[in-house]
Amino acid sequence: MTFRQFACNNVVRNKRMYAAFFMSSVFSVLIFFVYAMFIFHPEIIGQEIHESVATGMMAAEYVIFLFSFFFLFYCVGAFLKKREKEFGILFIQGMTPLQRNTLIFMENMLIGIVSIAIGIGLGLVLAKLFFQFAGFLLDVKALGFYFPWKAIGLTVVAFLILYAAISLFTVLVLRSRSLLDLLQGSGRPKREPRASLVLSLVAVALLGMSYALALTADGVNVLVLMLPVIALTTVGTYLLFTQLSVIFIDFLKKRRVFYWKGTNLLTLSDLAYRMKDNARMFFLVSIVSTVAFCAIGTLAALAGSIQITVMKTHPFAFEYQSKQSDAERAKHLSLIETSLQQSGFSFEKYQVAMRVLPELVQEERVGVVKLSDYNRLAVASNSTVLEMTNKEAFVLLNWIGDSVASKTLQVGKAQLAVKTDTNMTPLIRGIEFERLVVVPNQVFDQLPKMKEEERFVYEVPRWKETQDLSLKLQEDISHVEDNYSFSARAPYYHSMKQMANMGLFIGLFVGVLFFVAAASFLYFRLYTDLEYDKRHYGSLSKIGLTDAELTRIVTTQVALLFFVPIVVAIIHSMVAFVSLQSLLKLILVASVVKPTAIVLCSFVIVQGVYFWIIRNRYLFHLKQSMNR
Amino acid sequence: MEMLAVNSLSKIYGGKVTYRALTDIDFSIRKGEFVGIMGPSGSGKTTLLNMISTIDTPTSGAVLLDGTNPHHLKKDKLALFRRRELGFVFQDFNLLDTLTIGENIVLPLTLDNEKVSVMEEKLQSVAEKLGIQDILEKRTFEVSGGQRQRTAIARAIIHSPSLLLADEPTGNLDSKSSRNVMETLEAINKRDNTTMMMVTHDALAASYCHRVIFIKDGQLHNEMYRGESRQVFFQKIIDSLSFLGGNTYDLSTIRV
Repeated sequence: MTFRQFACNNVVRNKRMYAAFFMSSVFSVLIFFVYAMFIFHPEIIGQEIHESVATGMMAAEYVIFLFSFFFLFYCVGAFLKKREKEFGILFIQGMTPLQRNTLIFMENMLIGIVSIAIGIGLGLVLAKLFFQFAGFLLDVKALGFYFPWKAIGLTVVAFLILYAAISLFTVLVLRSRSLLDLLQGSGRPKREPRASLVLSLVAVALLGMSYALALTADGVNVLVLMLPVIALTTVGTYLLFTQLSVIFIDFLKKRRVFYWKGTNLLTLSDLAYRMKDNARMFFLVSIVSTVAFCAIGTLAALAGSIQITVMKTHPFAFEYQSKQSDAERAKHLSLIETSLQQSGFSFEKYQVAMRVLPELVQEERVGVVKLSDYNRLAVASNSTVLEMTNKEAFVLLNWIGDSVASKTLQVGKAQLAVKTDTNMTPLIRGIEFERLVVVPNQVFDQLPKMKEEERFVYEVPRWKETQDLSLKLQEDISHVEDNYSFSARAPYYHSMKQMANMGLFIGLFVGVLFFVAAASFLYFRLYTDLEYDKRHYGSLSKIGLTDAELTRIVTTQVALLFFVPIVVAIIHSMVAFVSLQSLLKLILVASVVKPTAIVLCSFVIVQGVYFWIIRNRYLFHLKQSMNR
Repeated sequence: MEMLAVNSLSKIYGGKVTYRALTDIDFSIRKGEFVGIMGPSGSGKTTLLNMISTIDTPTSGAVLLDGTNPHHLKKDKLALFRRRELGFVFQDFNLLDTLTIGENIVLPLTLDNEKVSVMEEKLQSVAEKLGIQDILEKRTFEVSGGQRQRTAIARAIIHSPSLLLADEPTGNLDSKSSRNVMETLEAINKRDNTTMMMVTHDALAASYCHRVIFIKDGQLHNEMYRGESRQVFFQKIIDSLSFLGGNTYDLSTIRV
């Protein structure tokens, strides 16, 4: 047996320990590789949507890479901790520290190279499917398969560097413990974590504070408060698991009526004993799951609310605005109408006239529109109908947070009281003015002659199908002059939809990667406990623990391990979604409730299935070793 | 010729309450000698062994193995020293579960980058000596305790160390395996002239030694040489132990 064979044996014969770690690193390589295939795809050049997907994926590549680094780094550290005794034995057999480092390096590289190979292999197999899925989501023709030399090169180099760096860092941060400690290994009984009441209260305070901040923050404040809230939540969650949970278990243990009843004694004492190991893992899994939930939830919310958003920014399928000086008005309008008719779209046409006030109001050019005209459009686009007296004017706000300073407005000869509503968005934009004011019919009619603009809008019930038509019209009605402006909703909707689906497409895989990583933390935790549990429950069954009781204890423990972090993550994400809601209002996203609920539910279902499988496997192993 | 010399060795464990584990231990072991260390629980036997085996460092005093003080060596030199000069046998075998029996045995040579052909050759000869040729391909969990301990002994002698250290080698074995292991150690000592030092509770195991050193409360108490008869020596050890007043646990493993 050469040294190299020795290193290989260490990995290959320990495959069950490395299984989950290996799977999640294969998964990272796979995702990284398919993204790279997309980025380097020869067909995307010159295709705008694909190019922007590629840019998004580039960013995702960094996220995947960084996350893989930290995740694998943590795992490798955990494995080494479990192998302390082994290193003790090797040291006593005369292994030099350099040889230990070489050993760690070789083992990591072996796992690395194999997972790179498998990840790329799987990627090549799944490439076609992936491109098809991308084509479906982005609503474009799917990319063809090609042989991705560049992507393979990038993936191999990136992950080789990653594994080498991890090996190097692991070795650097490895605490040199005395040989005596190493030989005694991790078999020594661990002391229960000591928790301080003060820190537990701090945990409650931090979480309470961050929740309060997140829930009360409104609009733009959400962005400002985001970082502090994330920091508070992270620290709070850490303390929640390391301090508060211990205090809570202690509290339960003092209630003898509860503690000494049935299997509670075993479950609780075990829980307390493992809290030190579990606390950090609970923390990591909660945070990683929260990130996954929030990312996917946000993207799903964006994708799900595109239509409502577009309806607000583009109240009509086609809009044509023209100044008096527009010579081509008639030609353009007939082009629009005949095109629509030829393609068999029914439509309804509305027309409004606007006038531009000659003087600036607070350095803004102001356009006015007649109340009856405005309301006609409002009815047509399902928007709010305005009501006002003859002494009032309604000023529309251009963005949320915008405000009107003056209390009165001079329109022609009339002095009007200003009214406004923060929840309303303007139905109409102007070419020569920035702000629109709705004025009573009477006031409008009495205005002296001034610059006029006219807007023609078309309401098309089947507007979603007008994409091609719109693109053609946009080309024909060129936009070089500023005598008129033309806008169509369908292309805008399509590009928004593509953007959102693109985000979802990119984020989904990264989110799933996070989720898989969290799942493999759990697997590793259970695997580490299995040997101990075999002995533990073996001796308990000798003193008369029934199978049913064993099943109950194990189920409770595994369930806690699986669902405590997830529940915390769900609560965190729900708070995040509430403040997200108030932020997304700004860009007119209607509601995040439904898409995020779907995301959370599907995560819980997947986690439930995973729990069921793992619990059964675990019980199977325990019972098998007991019957031997 | 002196193989091992221990000069006024002391060990004090620090901490809130300092604890004196060993005080001024002086003794030496000649080349080819087989020495047993006995004493009641907590007398400092294992501490002494750990000092000599470089697992732990002494507070004062020196350990000289063939003239070298391993505690003065740099890390890498110390590793080479352990690899080439020392062999270990532990109570709980300390085999690596990921390796087969054969691979466990050649481990010291693997670490020394020995040629595979040389490893093969040495493995065959040492396995024959210990009667474990047939299980070399097996994994550690597939063989009995006695076989595991013989594997550990094979691993400890495959590189012909200057000193073989054994810490309760029979502690986890039944009486038949214990005898077998002790006879093996005795045979190796005779045939290869390997110097051995063994810490044990077991009077039977100790009766295979040439000499037994008793320590009590961290100090040398007395030593006894074996005469012609192992049976007589065993009786003398029992008497000495009861004089030392070890608790009953210490005598519980005695089997004749």
